[in-house]
Amino acid sequence: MIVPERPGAEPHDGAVPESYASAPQRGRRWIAVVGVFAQNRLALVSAAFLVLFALFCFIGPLVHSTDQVHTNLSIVNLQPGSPGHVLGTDGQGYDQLGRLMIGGQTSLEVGVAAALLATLVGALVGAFSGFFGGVADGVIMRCVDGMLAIPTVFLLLLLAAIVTPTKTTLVVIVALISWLVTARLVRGEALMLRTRDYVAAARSMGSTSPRTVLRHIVPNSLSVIVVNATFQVADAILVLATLSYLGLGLAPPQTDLGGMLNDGMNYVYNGTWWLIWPPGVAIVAIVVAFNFIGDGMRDAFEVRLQRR
Amino acid sequence: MIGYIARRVVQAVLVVFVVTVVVFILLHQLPGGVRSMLGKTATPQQVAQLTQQLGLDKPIPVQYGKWLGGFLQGNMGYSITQNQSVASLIAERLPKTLVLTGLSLAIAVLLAIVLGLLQAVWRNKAVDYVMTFVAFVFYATPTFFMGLILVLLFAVKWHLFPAQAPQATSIGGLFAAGSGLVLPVATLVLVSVALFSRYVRASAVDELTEDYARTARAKGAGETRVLFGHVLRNVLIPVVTLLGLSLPWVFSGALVVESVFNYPGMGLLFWQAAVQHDYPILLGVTVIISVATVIGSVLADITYAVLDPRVRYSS
Repeated sequence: MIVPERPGAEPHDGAVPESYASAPQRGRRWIAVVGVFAQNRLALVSAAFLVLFALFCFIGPLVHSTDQVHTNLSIVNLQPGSPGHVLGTDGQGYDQLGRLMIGGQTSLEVGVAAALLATLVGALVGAFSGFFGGVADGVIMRCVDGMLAIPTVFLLLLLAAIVTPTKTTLVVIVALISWLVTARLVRGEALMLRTRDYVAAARSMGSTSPRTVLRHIVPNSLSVIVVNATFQVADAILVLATLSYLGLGLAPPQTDLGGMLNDGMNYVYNGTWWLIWPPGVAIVAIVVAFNFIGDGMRDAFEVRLQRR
Repeated sequence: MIGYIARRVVQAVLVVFVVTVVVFILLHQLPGGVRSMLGKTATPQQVAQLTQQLGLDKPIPVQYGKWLGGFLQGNMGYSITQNQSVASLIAERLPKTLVLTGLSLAIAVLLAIVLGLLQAVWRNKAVDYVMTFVAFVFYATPTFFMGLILVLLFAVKWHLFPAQAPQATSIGGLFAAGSGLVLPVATLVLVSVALFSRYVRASAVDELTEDYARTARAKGAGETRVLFGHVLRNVLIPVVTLLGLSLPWVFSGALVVESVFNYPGMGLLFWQAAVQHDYPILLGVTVIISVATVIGSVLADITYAVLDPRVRYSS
């Protein structure tokens, strides 16, 4: 294959091209990224909050042990502050604080796993599609366009109607929706990177196409991929919550934060505000936190690009 | 200009074609298929009979061809759970969804323009930061949570508005019971204002520092005149595109709002069909809503090209 022309190649400003950067320089660059990120207070507070929330969800049940499997209809919808139930109980007699912990666990687990899967698939498809170009690229990208034309929640329900919800299938469903955006972004990067000198150099030295993509295109798109993955987690948690809210999530006694809101909605006229506010506020806080971290990382990486 | 429009339309048709193929293939993975429609007590003969009746024993490409042929003539098959054709169900429900989304979008965009301009004028001041933070939080709030908060406050606590959307069959009936529209529309407005106002702010901040704005100021125009006489119309251009691109997002929001408030629109229809595995409805609604989305983005692109001549020559 003929190396394409380089209309998009950057003008040389005397700086050492990235491809010649030696290992220590590369290490220093990552330290710079971490440094800029650490100066962003909003992002740091968000990260701290997420660590605390994860501890609450995963370690909390060891401290505040509750039965989240068997319903107990003798203690339904207790007010917050009832003895032994700080946040009250829900319509099935589950302790609401304990429910928040296991619901949070599911949301975090599925959200992070789906975002990782979507990022992996999206980055690989995008990188290969952009690198090879031509007919394959055209077909793949038209498919991505087509799937993006279906509004998210509609596509979500369509997929959810097909499978039986378990944690694994939910991860796959959410990832199937999320990888599209990643694929588009990374394809854009690949289109730009494939015209770089070091890619041409690698090829002329006999690097096979898969090797070139995996060793050169993907690593050099890493900043875009990492920043996007952070936003993907926020989106995945929202998408999962929406699915569960619409009643197509995990079957009881399992739940996630959106599922808790679905349960709480049934009692909304009894004024059971404690079934609505805690899981809802938790979703918003998690999503805002991941977005702030994503913003912080984007700023950190952009600074790196400027200082190159 | 005509060439540009033609290219966009061809692309759009291609995208819609891909949508139909993708959805058609996906839906053939439905578990249980015909058996789940008939229930557990159905005999193998009954299953075989319905399979043949629905044409599901034929190869997928043949089924697709038949469906596409019917679709182009406005025949989208019959609902499995409701004794009605998909086309008539959609004809009944689509206008209501359009009322909900149209009303919400119009209010949201107006609000967003006002808020975004104010933020741009007060950029990097305390008010701006607070508003940005609020927009961020609203943007992260799931639509259903927003809806539930409004129900808790305005319907359950203060008894100001009903928590149920009007169940009228006609559009006029919807407006006759207008108070029931308030909470659904408000939910959709609140979540979309956050999205739009961020763009208006960013766009207005850019425009306010452009040369033409500086020239206007140098010639003695006051800040208000610069804002409304010069900057506003340039700010509106990206808003048009944003409107078109946000359509899938708005339809998604509408589906959730419809399920929260039991609003009898297309989203509610689709949601019930997903729960009941009503495959012809799922197929028909997905295609219609995607066509609406694609038409929206084409119209936005064309409007953008009309408003800003630089676009049509560069692509």
